[in-house]
Amino acid sequence: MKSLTTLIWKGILLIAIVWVCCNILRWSMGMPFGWTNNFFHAKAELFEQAKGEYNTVFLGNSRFHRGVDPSVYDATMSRLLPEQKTKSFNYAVASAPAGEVYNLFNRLLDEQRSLQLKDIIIQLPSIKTAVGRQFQKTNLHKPRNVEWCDFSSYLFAMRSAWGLKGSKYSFRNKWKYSFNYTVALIENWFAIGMIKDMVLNKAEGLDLSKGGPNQDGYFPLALDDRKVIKSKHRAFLRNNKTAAKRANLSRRFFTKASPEEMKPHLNSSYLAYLVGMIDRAKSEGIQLTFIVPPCMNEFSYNELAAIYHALPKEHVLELTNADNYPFLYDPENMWDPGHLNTEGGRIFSEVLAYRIAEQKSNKNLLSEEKLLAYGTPKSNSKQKGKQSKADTVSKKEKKALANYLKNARAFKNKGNCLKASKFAEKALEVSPDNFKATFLTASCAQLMNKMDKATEFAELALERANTKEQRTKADAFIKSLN
Amino acid sequence: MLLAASYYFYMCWKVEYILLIILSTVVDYIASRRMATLEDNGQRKRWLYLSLFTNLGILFGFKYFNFVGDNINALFDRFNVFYDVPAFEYLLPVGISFYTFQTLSYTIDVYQRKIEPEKHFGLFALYVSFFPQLVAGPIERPSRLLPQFHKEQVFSYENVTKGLRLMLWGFFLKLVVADRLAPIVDAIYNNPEQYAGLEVALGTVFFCFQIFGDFAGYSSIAIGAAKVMGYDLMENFRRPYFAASIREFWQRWHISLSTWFRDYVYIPLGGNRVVKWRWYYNLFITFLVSGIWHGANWTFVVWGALHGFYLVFAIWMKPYFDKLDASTGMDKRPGVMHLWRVFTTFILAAFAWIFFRANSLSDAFTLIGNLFRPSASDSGLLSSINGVEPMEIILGFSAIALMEMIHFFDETKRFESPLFHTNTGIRWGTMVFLITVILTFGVFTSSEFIYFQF
Repeated sequence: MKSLTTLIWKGILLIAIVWVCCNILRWSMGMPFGWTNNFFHAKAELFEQAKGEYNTVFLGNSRFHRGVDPSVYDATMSRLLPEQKTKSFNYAVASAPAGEVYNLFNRLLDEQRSLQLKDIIIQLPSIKTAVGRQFQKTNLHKPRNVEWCDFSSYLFAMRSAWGLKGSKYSFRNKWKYSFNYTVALIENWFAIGMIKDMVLNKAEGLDLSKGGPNQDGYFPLALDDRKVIKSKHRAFLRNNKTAAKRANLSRRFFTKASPEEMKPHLNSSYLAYLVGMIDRAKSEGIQLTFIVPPCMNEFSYNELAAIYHALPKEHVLELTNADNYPFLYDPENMWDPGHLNTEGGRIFSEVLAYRIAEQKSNKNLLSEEKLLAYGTPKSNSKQKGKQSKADTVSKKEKKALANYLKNARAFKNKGNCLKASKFAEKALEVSPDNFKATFLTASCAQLMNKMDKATEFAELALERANTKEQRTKADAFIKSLN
Repeated sequence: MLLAASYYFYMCWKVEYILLIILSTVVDYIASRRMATLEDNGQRKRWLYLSLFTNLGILFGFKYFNFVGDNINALFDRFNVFYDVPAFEYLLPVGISFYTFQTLSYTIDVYQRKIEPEKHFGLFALYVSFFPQLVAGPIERPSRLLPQFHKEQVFSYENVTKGLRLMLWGFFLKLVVADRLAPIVDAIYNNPEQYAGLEVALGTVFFCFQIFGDFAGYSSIAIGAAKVMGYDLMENFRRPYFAASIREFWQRWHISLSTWFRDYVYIPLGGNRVVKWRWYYNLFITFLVSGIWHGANWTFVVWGALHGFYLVFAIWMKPYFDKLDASTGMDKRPGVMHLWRVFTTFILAAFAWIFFRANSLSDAFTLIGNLFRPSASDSGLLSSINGVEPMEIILGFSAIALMEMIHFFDETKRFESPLFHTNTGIRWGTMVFLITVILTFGVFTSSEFIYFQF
C-alpha cells in the first residue's frame, strides 16, 4: 500500500516538471512584455527598435496614452531648456492597473544600462482601477492581467489594495481582490492559458500603426475607429455637463480640501511603494515624477489627493486642479468626460513640459498670461449650437433609448433581472452617460447578486446624476451596497 | 459529510432550488418505504404514482411548462383565439433532468421489487444528490451506487491516482477541445444566414467534437472525482465516433441515459419481443422521448425523432444492405467495410447534431439548405468565419487530432492507454504533456458545461 506521503511527493514532482515545461514554452515564444494588448505590443516593439534613443518615458493609462504627445513635449522642452534635449516616448496604455505600471517601471529600470533614461514621468495610478470590476470580472484570467502579476508586482498589488481606506473597500472585498491576485500569480507562474494567445497573436501579426502617427506611442482618440470610442464622444457632445462636474470635483479635492483633511484617506502601503520607486529611480540616475492628471472621478481623487500631498514635492505635480488649469476642462479640448481630445492633448503636453522644465530649472516659466492664453471653458450657450446639431442627429437614438428603458423597467418589475439588465445595457450603448440606464444596470446587478458590477455602475450613476434627487438616489444606493 | 458537501455544491448555484431536491428525496424515500411494506399492488401503485407525479411534475413545471404554453399560444393565435397561457420567468434548475431520472429509477426498481428500499435516509439523500454526478450524470442506478455508500472508505493510492488521471483527461476534453471549438461553432450557428458549404460543414463537425469534449469531459471529471473518494461510477462514453452503426453509437454515447431509456421506457413498451411494426414504434417513441428529455425545444424533438428514424430504417433495410454488400464483394473486405460504416455513422450523427445545436428549427433548415450551397466568401475556409482567426481553426483541428489519436490507442487495443500505461515513463510523459497542454492551450474564460442545461 503506497501512502499519502508518496502521493504528495509525486504530486510536487509532477507540478515542478510541468512548471519547467510551461516556462520553456513561454520562453520559446519570445514575446515582449506588453504583447497582450495591440497598442502595448506596438509600443514595446517600437521602443525596442529605438533602444537607447529615448531619454524620457511616460507611463500610465489612457489619460496619458491619449493625452501626452511626445513631439509637443520635446519641442516645448527644447525651447525652454535647449541645453537639456529630450526625446520622449509615450509608453502609457489604456486600462493599465497600478500593478502593470509598477511592473513596467521595474522592467525599464532593470534595463537602464542599455536605455540610459533620464526622466520617467508616471501618471499617478489609482489602486482603485486594480481592484475594480475590470480586474474582478472582466479581465480575470485574461493574459493582460496575468502577464504583469509576477511575484514583486503581486506583493505591490496586494499591499496597496489592503492599504485602501474607506467603507467602499470592505474586508470582504479586499479578501476577494487578494484571491484574484493570487489566481493571477499562479497563472503567471505556469503561463496558464497564455501560450495559445501568444500563438494567435503571432499568427495575427504585429500592427505597428498602433504606435501612433509619429510612432512615438501617442495615439489620439480622434484616430481610433472603434465604435465604443465614437459613441462615447457623441454622447459627450450631446451632454457635456460632466466636464463642469469633474472640474468642480478637482477644485473640491485640490483647492477646498486641505492636506490635513485628506490624511485619513492616505494609503500608506501604496505611498511606501511610490517612495521606493523614487529611491530606486534616483539610484539609477533617473528623475521620477508622478503626475495627477485631469478629469478623474471622485473615488480616484479621494485616493490620489492624499497621496499627492504626502509625496515629496520635487517628485509630484498636479495638472488637474480646474482653478489652475481650467482649459483642461473645456469641452472644446475634451473627447469624453475622462479624456482629452487632440487639441487638449497638445495643450496638456505643453503644460506638462513647462512644469517639468520649471522643476529642472527652479524657475517660473509658465506665467499667468501664458496660462490664460490657453483659454477658459466657454459658457453653455456657446456650446449650444454644437449640441443641438448632435441632438437632431440622435432623434432615432432617443426613441430607441426610451424603448430600451421602458423594457428594462418592465422586465425589472416582472422580476426578470437578466432581461432587464440586457435592455439597460442596450440603453447605455445608445447613451453611455444616461443616469437612468446606469442606475437600472446597477440595481439589476444588485438583484442578481453581482455586487462588483452593482458598485461600479452605482458609482457611475452618481457621477452621471443631473439633479439633486438623482444624486441622493445614487448615494443612498451606494450606501445600501456597502 | 458527503451529503452536506453535495447540498453545498448545489446551493452554490442557487440556494432555494435545494428545496426541490429535498422534496424529491423525501417523497421518494417515503414512497419506497411504503411500497416495500405493502402487499396490495393497487396501493403500491398509488405510492409509485405519487413519486412519478411529484418528480415528473417538478420536471414538467420547470422545464416544459413554458414550452407547452408557447405552443398552445401559437395554436390559439392560428385560430384567432385570444387567450394567453401565462409564462413563468424562472431559471431552470441545473441538472434537474439528471437527478429526476436517477431518483425515478430507484422508485421504479423498488416497485418492481428489484431492490430493497434504503432504510438510511441520509444515504438515500446522498444517492439522489451525490455531488460528482448531480448536475450532469452519469445517471447511476441504485443497485450500483447505494451499496457503495454502505462501505467504509479508506485511502487508496490506486483509486486516488486513477481518479486524478480520469479528471485530467476530462479537463483536457473540456478546456482544450470543447472550449476551443465553442467560439467557432457559435460564430457559425448564431449566424446561419451568413455561412454556407464548407463553413457549415466545419461548424457541424466541430460541434460533434465540442459536445463530445464537453459532455464526456464532465463525465470523466465526475467519474474521476468519485473514484478519488473510492466510489465507482458507470462509464458514460466509449469513443462514440468510432461506432460503425447508429445502434452502436448509442451503446457508446451517454451510456447511462441510453440504458435508462432501454430499461424504463423501451422494455416496458415491449422492446423487440413484439410484432415488427410495434418494435419500430417502440424504438421511435423511445428516441422521441429521449429528444424531449434533452430540452424543451422542437429542435431536440426532431433530433430524437431523427435518431429513431435512423434505427428503424437500419433494421428495415438490413437485408437489402446485406445483399448489396455481397453483390459488390464488400463483405469480403471487412476492414474497408468497417471504415465506411464508421464514416457514414459519423455523417448521420453529425447531420442530426445540426438540429441539436441550432437555435431554432428554422435556423436548422437554413443551415441544412446552406450546407449544399457554395460559400459566398472567397477568402478560403480558414479566413471566412467572422471574428475567428485562422490559427484558432488550426488549433481546433489539432486538439481534435490529439484527442482522437489517444482514442485510437484505446479503441484498437494495440497499445495500452498512455494515461494508464504500465511503463512509468510513458504514463508520466503523457500526464506532463496533458497538464502542460491544458495549462498553456486551455481556454479558461469560457462558460459552463453544455449538459448542465438538461
